[in-house]
Amino acid sequence: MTIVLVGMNHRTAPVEVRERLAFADAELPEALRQLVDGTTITEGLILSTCNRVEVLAVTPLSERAALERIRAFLSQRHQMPPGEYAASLYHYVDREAVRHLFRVTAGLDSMVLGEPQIFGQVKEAYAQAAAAGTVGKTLHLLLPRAFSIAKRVRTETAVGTMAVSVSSVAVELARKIFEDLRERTVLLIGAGKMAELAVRHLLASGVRHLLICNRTRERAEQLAAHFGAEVLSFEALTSAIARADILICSVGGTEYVVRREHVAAAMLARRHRPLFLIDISVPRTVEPSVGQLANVFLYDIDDLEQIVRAHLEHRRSEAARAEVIVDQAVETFMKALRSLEIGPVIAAFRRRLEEIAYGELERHRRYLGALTPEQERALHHLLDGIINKLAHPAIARLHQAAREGLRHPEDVSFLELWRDVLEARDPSRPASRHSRSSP
Amino acid sequence: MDRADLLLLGTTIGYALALLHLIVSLWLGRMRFGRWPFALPLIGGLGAHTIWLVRAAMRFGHVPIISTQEVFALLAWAILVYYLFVQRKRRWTDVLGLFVLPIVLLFVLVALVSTGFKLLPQELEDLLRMPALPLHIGFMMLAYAGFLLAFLAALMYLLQERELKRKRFGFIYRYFPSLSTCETIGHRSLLFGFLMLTFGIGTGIILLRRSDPVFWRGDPIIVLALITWLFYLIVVHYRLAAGWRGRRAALLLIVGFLATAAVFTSARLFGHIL
Repeated sequence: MTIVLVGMNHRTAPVEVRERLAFADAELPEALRQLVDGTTITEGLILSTCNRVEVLAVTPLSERAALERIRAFLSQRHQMPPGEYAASLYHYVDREAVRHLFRVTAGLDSMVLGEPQIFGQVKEAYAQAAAAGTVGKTLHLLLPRAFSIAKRVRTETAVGTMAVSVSSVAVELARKIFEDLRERTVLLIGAGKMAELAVRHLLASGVRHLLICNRTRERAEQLAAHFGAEVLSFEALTSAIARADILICSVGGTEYVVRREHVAAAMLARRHRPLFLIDISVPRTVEPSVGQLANVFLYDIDDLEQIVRAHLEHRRSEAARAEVIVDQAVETFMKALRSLEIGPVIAAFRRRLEEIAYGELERHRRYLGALTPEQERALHHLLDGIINKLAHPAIARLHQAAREGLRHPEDVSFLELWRDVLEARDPSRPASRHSRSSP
Repeated sequence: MDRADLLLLGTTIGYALALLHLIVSLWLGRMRFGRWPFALPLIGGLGAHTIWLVRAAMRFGHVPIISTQEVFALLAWAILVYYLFVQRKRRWTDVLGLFVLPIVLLFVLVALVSTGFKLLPQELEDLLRMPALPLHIGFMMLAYAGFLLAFLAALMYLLQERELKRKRFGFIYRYFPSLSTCETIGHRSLLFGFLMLTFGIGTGIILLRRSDPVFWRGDPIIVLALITWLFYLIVVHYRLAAGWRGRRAALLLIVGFLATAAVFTSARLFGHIL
């Protein structure tokens, strides 16, 4: 059994290629059944998101055959000559395929490091494949392992914590000041795109009261209608600030719109309840000295971007810890996988030896005459002893091979070789293709 | 080592384990081992602590408040109980414990190493038999616990406020509760402490009238208690009526607590009971 993974992601392929190779949800069952033909590919799973397309497959044949089969499948499915996308594809085999899957599931391969959506997407892909009947023993062992590793990464490292976009940093800061945002009021000054994005984030975090102040009333009313907000005139700025807990300023122009005296007066009116000001306009439109007032927290776009950078840095350092967890998990999984493969072979080997030994005993029993129970037991001990001593080096060798990896790339198949050895000595079964007696 | 000492030792070990677990969890960044390794030694320690206090009370037949050992043990107990009350709806293992538990642990350690009275001073016998005394002591201890929590919450508020102003984030940003939460804990603890102090002083006055008036007249500890009460009255008033908030209110709580703690400690050192 060989695990192969073929795919492309946001780093290797431009979006024009990714979207052409993507699979729609509805076509997945059919695509999966087409991929898994039962000879070259025995198990398969397709993960298709906006940032990646990955085909995970299990083959009893060589990896080259499997890779060719998957490429042919992609071309045929999407009516695209391989030349158009081959350069964007990566492929991994066995250990590396397992590692890649673990990293993807844990969000370590994502565009935003540590993001959690991919976990659900892999889970969905697994469910789809299971429903289509293209998941077998190997993938049933592999995927649950990937999920538990992703959870471990999430709980044991901080790779998924801390906001990594300007808007989400603004929300995180607001939470650090106000805890619960539901009862808070947001004042939006200006109506730029960035401001709208920040407001969207805040509304998504539960903020219910939104005030909008804009120079052109028309645009303000448009936005207000969209968000269900209240429009205030620019002249009433101080009283608007007194009502708000969070202020987002995003205005064009070179002069300060929110001045120290505005905020100082508003702070008196609001009885010094904390005020969080976010100035995302460039050049700045909130007078910087406002930040020196007590209970006022002023952040400009540079501050927020600096926090984003620091958080990303933190995530990266946590990702290094996550990689260690993944590495260990890959080793553990590969061992489990090999013992899954090697176990039946060893059992068959032992069974074969016992059949031969006890078969010989029965054949020669008539020459032995009547045996006492003690003699009978002694005979069994004798045979078992011989079997064990003969089998031991071979079994140890198999175990060692399982630990170190079953095969070299150029080998046909180490396992198949052993199966042939066993079959060739079996007189009751038809001779195998390696046997001398075959025509 | 007799059984009482073993109980106190068990208490110390329980609290130390809980604190250790808290530090390790915060250090690792996540609760890796669940909350039971934290809650179990803490609750176990509290159980042993309570039994120790009950035994001490039964041995002499009065509130355990006479020896240094008893005072510290009772104080630690009150602080921990109030802390658990504050945390009842919040996460058990958060950073507030990092401030409270070392103090509790320190007090229990002081109790562990100091020795109790073998004989009761004669002049206190009568006072200790009065039924209002346990109430008075209980209120005062809870008042102390409330003011301590208010003080710690104010400290956390200031530390976090400074970090938010400086825009340099580290441990505090990651683990401290929000400013608003610090403020709420501080505010409620202040009100609770003030209420308890009021009751405590009320019961104290009843005690005074019944016990020997000459013995207590002009006692500096009573003057100090009244000054403390006035100070906190002013703080409470400004918070409720004038809406003092944030940094200034936090600073006031910190200065007030430190001043009263210093005064009462020195008063006790000069030989007065609390």
